[in-house]
Amino acid sequence: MFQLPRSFDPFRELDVLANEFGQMLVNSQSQASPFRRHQSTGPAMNVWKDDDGIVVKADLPGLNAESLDVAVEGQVLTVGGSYEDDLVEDENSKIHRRERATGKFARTIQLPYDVDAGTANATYANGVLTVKLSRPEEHKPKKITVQAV
Amino acid sequence: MTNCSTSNNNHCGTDESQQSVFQPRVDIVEVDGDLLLVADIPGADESHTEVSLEKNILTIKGTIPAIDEDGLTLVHREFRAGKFEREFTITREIDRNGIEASVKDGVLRVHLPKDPDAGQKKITVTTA
Repeated sequence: MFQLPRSFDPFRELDVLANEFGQMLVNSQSQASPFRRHQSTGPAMNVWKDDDGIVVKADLPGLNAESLDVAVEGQVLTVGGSYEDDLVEDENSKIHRRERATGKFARTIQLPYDVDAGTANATYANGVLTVKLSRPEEHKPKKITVQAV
Repeated sequence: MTNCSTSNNNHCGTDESQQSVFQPRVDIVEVDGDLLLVADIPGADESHTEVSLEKNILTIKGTIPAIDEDGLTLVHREFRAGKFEREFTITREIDRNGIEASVKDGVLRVHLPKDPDAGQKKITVTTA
């Protein structure tokens, strides 16, 4: 199992609070609560399968592509990496709202069946990571013909 | 898994026919008086996205294209395709002609430069 450490900044929550109560120069008319923090459980994932293989897609907008690490072992897929964090608060800038995920992430999911790690294929486009995994030939269901005797 | 559970995209759709509209996560940062709005719209590119400013309401909207894998069975779903939309009230003077928006890697960036003439409205006094 391969897990990347998640960065935790205890002061970030306080900064968000201060910014929200301080000068709110831009207001949101939507119903999204400014205090609903993104759960640091890693990216949202969808999983598809058939008898030959599995496709996993992960929402990873703004991914730092070089940091991406996809590992497959048996029935377990691990996706780790970090986001492009280009919003930095310094003397010239001020963050008014922060909802998007930042820093490192890692997520491990259970697959419906064992896959062949050697033939795994991963692509990234428009912020979506697609991992295609194939099932080892000997694991694929075999139809057994029932013969009349 | 189409129940209304917490997902990373803040939306709460029940079934496909309801055409749920989700609100993308947004960061807003001010740099030297300019505003930069950054929204997560994974799966969409610039052809799927619309940004408009009417009076002082900035709207970002669009569609995440269908993500289904043909022929395969969906066994686990945490994100979905569909419409997204979110509005913001801009409470400052913006140079409307200088607004720029771009999409890269599923991230929409809207740059709203400050109006250079803001607060400097010179009014000429004429003789009556």
